[in-house]
Amino acid sequence: MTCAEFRELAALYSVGALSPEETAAAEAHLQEPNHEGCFEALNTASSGVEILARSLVPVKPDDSVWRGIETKLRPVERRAHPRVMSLRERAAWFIAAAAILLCAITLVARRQLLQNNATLASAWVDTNGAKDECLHDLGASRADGEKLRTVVALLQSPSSKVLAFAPQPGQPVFAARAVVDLAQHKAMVLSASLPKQAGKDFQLWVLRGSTPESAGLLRGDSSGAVIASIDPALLGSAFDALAVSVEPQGGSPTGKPTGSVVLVGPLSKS
Amino acid sequence: MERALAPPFAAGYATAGMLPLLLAVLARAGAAEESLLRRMAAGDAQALRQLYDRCSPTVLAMALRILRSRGEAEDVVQDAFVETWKRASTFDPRRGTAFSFVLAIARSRALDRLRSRGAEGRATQAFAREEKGPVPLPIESAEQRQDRDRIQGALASLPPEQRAVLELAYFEGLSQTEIAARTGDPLGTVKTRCRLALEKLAGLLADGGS
Repeated sequence: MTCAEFRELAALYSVGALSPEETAAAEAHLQEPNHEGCFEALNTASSGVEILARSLVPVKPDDSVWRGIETKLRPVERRAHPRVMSLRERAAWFIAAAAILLCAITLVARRQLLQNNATLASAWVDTNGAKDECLHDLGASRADGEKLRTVVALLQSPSSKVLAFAPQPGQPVFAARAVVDLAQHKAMVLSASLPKQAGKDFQLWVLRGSTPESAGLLRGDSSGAVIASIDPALLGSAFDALAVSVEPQGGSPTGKPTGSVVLVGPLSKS
Repeated sequence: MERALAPPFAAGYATAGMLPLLLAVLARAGAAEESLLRRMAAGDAQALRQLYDRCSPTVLAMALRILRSRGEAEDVVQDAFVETWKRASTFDPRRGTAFSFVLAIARSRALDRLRSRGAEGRATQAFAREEKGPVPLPIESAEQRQDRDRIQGALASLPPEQRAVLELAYFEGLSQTEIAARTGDPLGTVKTRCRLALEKLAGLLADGGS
């Protein structure tokens, strides 16, 4: 999609009137580094949409709405950083994982993979916010059964940790997480927002000190959902962080990051 | 739902001389909401409460307009603010205001619910009355009410066909293709009307209605 084409569609994009394919193309275009008036057009359209909503007579929600939000978020507020789970949490996660697997099997049979996963999981997993977030991403993805089982198994593992990637200053905002179990030499990367970009690929890197090793390309579906495993050979020893860069299609030609590093996730040492 | 879009000040808003002030008020509100989202991204739960207090009445009004069911609309508000908390770090101000970020999350949830009702449910919804009609907030000041009246005036000043495209897309969740089928207009016309309508709304406020 060109900038002129995006500007033409910006209004329809803002009111959500594009087809899923057009929306994905528009999202991918916005991730590109250079633009000619795209964000200005988007901002104008977005202002119009906001005015449309503000024209409605405001209605005060019942007090129970806020109480419900507090209830849902209380465990999240308590969480600090990714950590090894307690026995109680492991038990809760085992139940959550079983529920998710049951859900997945049913949905695979109907060719509607994981549509309700996040909702189902959220009913069970309030005891661990970081892993809750992972399951939310899983629910948003359309991972096949094998990948799902691998992630659930990793989440069940007492030695697994969740690593949260952070967007980098000045770079487009993406989000991703990884579930890492160094004891088993296994790790999976999850994201619900790494949209395809024309002529470019997201590339994952394992960092030891300042030395990056390529861990392959992260290619998602049209919605931007990605679920990928990391080569066990790269997990033989502890690493310092994972990172994601935007590279030419097919990956970095040099074996080192050549494009913008958009996400970095340090591995907790605790 | 024509009631919500009635133009009580359709003739007077442009000459009232208040639009620059309204624009400034909206800009200040936008900056405050953006700041709250940034605090939320850093884990500040108080900021979520403040954002909820500022935005939830309009978010509920929007969800109610889409779903026409108070209970479902309040569920959507609850889910939307939980999701906003979780996604606060993904907010990109280049794409729009913090308020439009929250609205987009809530609208998406509301439309998911609408679609999950199935064709029969949507048909029923199209003719349904709300369980409770929107009642102006007791806490809404006369000044806030005037601002809203002026926004409604700006909206009412749009050509009816442009306004219809906006409402079909935003409140009913129709795609451009579905809108074209519904109105019998070519796709290009739908696209143009949508763009012109939003540009005009934004422009009316940006240049004081001139």
